[in-house]
Amino acid sequence: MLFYFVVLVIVAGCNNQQSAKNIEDLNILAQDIDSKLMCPVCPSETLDQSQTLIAKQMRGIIREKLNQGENTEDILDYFVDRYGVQILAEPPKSGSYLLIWIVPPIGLVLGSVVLVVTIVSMRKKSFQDFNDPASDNMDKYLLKVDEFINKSINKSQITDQQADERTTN
Amino acid sequence: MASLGNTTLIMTLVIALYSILASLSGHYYKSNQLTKSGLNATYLTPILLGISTGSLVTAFVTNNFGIQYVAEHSNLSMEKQYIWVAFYAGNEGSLLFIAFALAVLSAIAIFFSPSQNEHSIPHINSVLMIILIFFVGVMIFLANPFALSQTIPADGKGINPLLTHPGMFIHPPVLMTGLISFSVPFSIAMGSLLAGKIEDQWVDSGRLWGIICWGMLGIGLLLGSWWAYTILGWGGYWAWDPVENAGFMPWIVMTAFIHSIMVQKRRGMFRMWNMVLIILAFAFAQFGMFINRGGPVPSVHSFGASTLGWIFLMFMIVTVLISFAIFFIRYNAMKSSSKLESALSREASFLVNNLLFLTVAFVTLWGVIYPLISELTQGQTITVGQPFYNQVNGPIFLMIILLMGIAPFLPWRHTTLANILKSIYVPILGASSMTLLLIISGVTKIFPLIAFALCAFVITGILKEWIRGTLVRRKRGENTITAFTRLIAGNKPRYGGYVAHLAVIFLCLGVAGSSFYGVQEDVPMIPGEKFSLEEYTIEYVGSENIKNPDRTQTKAEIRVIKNGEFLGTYFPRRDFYPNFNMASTQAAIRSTFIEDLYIIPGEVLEDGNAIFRVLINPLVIWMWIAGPVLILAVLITLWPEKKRIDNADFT
Repeated sequence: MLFYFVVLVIVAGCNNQQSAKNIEDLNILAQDIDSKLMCPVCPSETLDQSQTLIAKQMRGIIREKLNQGENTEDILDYFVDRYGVQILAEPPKSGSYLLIWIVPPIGLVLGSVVLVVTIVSMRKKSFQDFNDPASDNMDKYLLKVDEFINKSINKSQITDQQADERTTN
Repeated sequence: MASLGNTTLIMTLVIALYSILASLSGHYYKSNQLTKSGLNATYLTPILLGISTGSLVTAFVTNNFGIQYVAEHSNLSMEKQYIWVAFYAGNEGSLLFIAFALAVLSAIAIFFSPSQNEHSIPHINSVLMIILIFFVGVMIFLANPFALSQTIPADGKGINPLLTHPGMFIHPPVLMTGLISFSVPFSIAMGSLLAGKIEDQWVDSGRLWGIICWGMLGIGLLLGSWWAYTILGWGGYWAWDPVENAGFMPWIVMTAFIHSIMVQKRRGMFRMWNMVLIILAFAFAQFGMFINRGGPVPSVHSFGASTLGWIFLMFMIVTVLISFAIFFIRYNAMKSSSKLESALSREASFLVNNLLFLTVAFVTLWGVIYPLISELTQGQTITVGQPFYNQVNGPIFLMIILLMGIAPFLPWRHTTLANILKSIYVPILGASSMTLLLIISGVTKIFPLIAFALCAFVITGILKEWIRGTLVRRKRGENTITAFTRLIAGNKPRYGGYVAHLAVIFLCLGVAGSSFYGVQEDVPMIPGEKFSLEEYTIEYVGSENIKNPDRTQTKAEIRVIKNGEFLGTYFPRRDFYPNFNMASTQAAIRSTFIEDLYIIPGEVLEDGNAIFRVLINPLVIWMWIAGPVLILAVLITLWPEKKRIDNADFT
């Protein structure tokens, strides 16, 4: 779980390290912006994927603005002003859009809680059944027999590793 | 032809109804003969739908534009091999294809059903036939492939140019068959539940069919990526497009199922959970078809916006409700026969696995439906694209790969931390040395570093198992090859699983390599000009225009040189289809195990000046290698047992 958040933080961190130094960096930065904007006329294609005329023009605008010294934020804002927030390939991580970002980690956390509860309750369950007269369809003696049989079956089960080693003998 | 096709459709509907009535009443009134007659009716459905299919194909071959579907999806100049593609290029034809595939699969599933399912066969058969009736009903009443044109046109509209690619001969049918095949394990589970035989009788055939579906859908998805990579012309292979997601979600849930079902097979546990998983997997597969049939999300893949989607959505909701109703009625009969002994056990690791896979499935679902939620609640249109999925699913995938490197070495029932460490210290060594090697060679980005280290972790673990097992057998005097094959044959589910894991690692290598280390550049060039990207120099020799009746083909000639060594001449193409106002590109790809050089012509002007997009995509070839490896894994896992010679060793 911790691992998940560490990685999320790292990813978020990587996205912020943007300072263009020379032309090559500028080119990479431009491509990065291309991939953050959707082509307005083609479904589910970003600017860098689209070959439509409008996508080409938008790519041109991005490079022009970068050369004029504007940064990523400015350029993204410019397109959001013109086309609305749906031009962004991912919703902003702020305001009411935060919902989409926080649901997955919360889901994973809740899922993990359910998992732990399940594992704990599954470990207890058989004992409870044994002591709970309402739940058993058989009498206690049969349950005992059942458990004994299970045990002996399990005892005879060996791991694959042991199996491989036994074959040598 | 139209009337023949139509008649057989209606006959299929009647026969499928009869099959349900006969097999069920045979079951309840204890008449074997009646049951048998019902099952024979099921065997008849692929024949009838085969005739329907044949009629539509014949209509295509004879250019029978009197049938609307043929007029809309082919024309006189279409090359004949594309009839196969045109057949399922549209809504109606693809429904017929799906129904035919379902009928064939149903017949196979019923015919080869193992004896332990005997008691529930009538129910399994009925569930299958209900699904078939839905599809055939939709065709007869709402989307008839044999509907007649109002006026017979002289020529048809022609086939969508993006579909005229070798990948299209196999990607859509495999994917559609993969999705519809989920009906089979679902019916086996549901049928057993209905029949009241819910302990573990259904597990073997449920698992077998689960793995078949998983393999088919997986290959279908991979072929789709390959198609996107070679023809969509943007150097990518996966866009998290809603329809891709629609195929991906059921696959992920099925992945959870084929793992978790092993626990029921071996230990008689998770009986309810497996039932829930298979219901979910089927529901996701139906959701996929809903999205495909003009669901509410825009996509490059959908069969045009039609209201048919909503009928599929209704069918999905009804199926889920009924399934869970049956589930709760039979609730008490699904209690586990043994208990979970420890959180450190193979059983518990499968639960973690299921949690992670389901999270991926639901995160993806969340991304698909969130734009709708946002639009309905706030009136705000937004896009949830690639970056969202990469950021949210990416880390979960890494966790899955980490688990993949540990879980296979956990024994059933319980173990200790010390034992786990003992079995994974070699993989840990592998991962650390890989990390060290990468850092020395200049890899500094943390995300790919983790990804590659985890890949090394899993691969070392698998190799260690193989080598150890082979050496143990060699000591008995077998030669290396015999030892290795017998090792794998001795426990096919286990070693088949390792091979599948290997395929996943190959996928991971391709994805990590290309997404973190891919470089691209758009270059305007005039004939004779040279351009360098990393060690590659490409020379644009020139281009020629070829006029075909349906398209204008622009073929560029490019010479590729690497470090002064001439590698070859390549001909990337751009085809323009005036009828559709659409262009398709055929990239020039030079693949090695290290990286792909990928060149697409963006635009070629009259004077020969052109804009090329040049990409270097590291490790992509491993994604395509994963395909055959995945098939191999499925084959190993499902290879029928001959005799358990090895049993003798245990006694």
